[in-house]
Amino acid sequence: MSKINIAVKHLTRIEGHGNIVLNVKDSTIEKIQWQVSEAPRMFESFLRGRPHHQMSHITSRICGICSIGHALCSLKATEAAMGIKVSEQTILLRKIALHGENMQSHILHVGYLVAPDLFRAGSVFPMIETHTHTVLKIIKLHRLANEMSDLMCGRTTHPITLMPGGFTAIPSEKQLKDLKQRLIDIIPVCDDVIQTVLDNAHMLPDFSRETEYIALTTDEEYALYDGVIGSTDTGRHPIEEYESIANEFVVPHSTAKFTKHARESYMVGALARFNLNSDKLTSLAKKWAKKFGLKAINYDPFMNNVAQLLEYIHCVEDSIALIDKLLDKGLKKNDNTKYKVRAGRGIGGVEVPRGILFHDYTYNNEGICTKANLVIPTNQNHNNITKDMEIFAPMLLNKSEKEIELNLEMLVRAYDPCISCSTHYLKVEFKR
Amino acid sequence: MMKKKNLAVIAVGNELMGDDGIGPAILNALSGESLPEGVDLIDGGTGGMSLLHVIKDYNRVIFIDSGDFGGVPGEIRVFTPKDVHSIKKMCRYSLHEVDLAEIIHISQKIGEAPGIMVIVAVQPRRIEINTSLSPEIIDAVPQAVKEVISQIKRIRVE
Repeated sequence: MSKINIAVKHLTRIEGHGNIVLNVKDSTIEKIQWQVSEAPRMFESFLRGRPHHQMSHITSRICGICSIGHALCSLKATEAAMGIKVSEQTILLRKIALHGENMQSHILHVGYLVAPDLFRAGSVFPMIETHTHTVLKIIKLHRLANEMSDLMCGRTTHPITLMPGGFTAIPSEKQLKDLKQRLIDIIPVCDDVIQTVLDNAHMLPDFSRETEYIALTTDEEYALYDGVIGSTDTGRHPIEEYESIANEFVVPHSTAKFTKHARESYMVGALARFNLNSDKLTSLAKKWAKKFGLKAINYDPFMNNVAQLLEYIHCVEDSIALIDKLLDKGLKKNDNTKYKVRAGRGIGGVEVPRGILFHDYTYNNEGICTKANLVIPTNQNHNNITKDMEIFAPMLLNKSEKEIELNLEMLVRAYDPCISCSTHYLKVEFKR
Repeated sequence: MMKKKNLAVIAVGNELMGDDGIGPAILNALSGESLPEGVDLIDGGTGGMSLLHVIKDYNRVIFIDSGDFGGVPGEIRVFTPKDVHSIKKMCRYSLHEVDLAEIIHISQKIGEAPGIMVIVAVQPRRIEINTSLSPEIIDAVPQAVKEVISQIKRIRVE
């Protein structure tokens, strides 16, 4: 094949708009690019001038999938700025909320967006005819995660009960007990779905490239809600050093910022978390990791899909343990921390489904935001996606253009990029 | 298993995409009307696959949506899922994108669909980034509200 020109404009089955460009002449790659064409969102600008109690509600709108994670990261930044120390109960409830979101997001990605690649279907919709039982189970996993987010946060998307210092409302003990039972009941469904992915894992391309992985880490647990910054290359760093970890920069072909740290690029997300913290996973998640042959450090970006599934079952098991802890202690109705608004700067770091997220706010004496900086996981992955493509594409040149395109699309999709939105109208023809 | 609820009117559409926002606009107008008890008004918005989890709880659902059926902008058609087949070419950009017909199909396939489903669709003029509706779409709102109310009366069980 002397000439290959691939231009995937607006890659499908990801959240948002990104393009893949590959030009090959006489077996030499002339151009390979991962272009992000999403318009700038300007959130940092319109946070300026807003009062502190609105920050989590505004920033949750950055994403319809990671809205709980954004709200929690925002609250942690505000609480750090104002010296607010929340209770243990609040932390436990927030951790369950974050688990709900992680489960919700991961099953959406693996179940609805990646599974069609494994079954060579164009989307999840034809799978309802060919793999009815699998789709039904995926829907069950999605449903539980949605309802869990609703219970913990007052609604499925864009949490309404989370506030600085605690919650406006919390679930009752009975609701937590019911949730625990539903979590126990979902484990076999979860096992079945993971087994199906394992049975079809050979459909994932074979590829690996050494890179740096960055995620929150802590000695206590599989870090999601809290921890310090961990790097597989450089060890641990305080959250406050996030700017020198991300080192954001701009490139001409993308509206999104790129990042790099110890190497030319790094990866964040479920695989990064696995690579840094796999010894802290729950027993079932560890069991499945073993079945997939997944060991830290794994350099195969396609294994991010598998790590997401491991995290689903980890979140289920850990939520059961967190609920037990809450019930053992007994739920306190008024457990919010009272605080005084004060000036200061605070940085929050939380692991959201797609990786490590930072919110950094500065407030004046009235608690009005004067400066905001947000570093989003997907942006931290763009550079790593590009570097992967540069190595992966030459390995594909003996395949048909269609296969090359599919493989490159699957690579981008493995990162679960979320760069977001679309339309919802019907288009129909009346039967004659 | 939870007992299914009586009836929901579910609006589908993205208010940031011009006439795609007709569903939420009709729903908003309906909320000012006196409706019989046991009718839930739900903004399904851009929930995508999440609509599956909403409709499973109801025996009867009336969807309000923008629908390109080749009519004149603002034209209203009332039909059931079995009256039509979808010819929408999905971009598959993201899970926010919804073909209501496909959601209904999945729901039926997995045995969760409401027994009665009616779609009240308004032909859009333009679906593009815009926060306002076209004039003929705004003019169609009162008639669409009347249609929905008459459908509620027709399918509702006391």
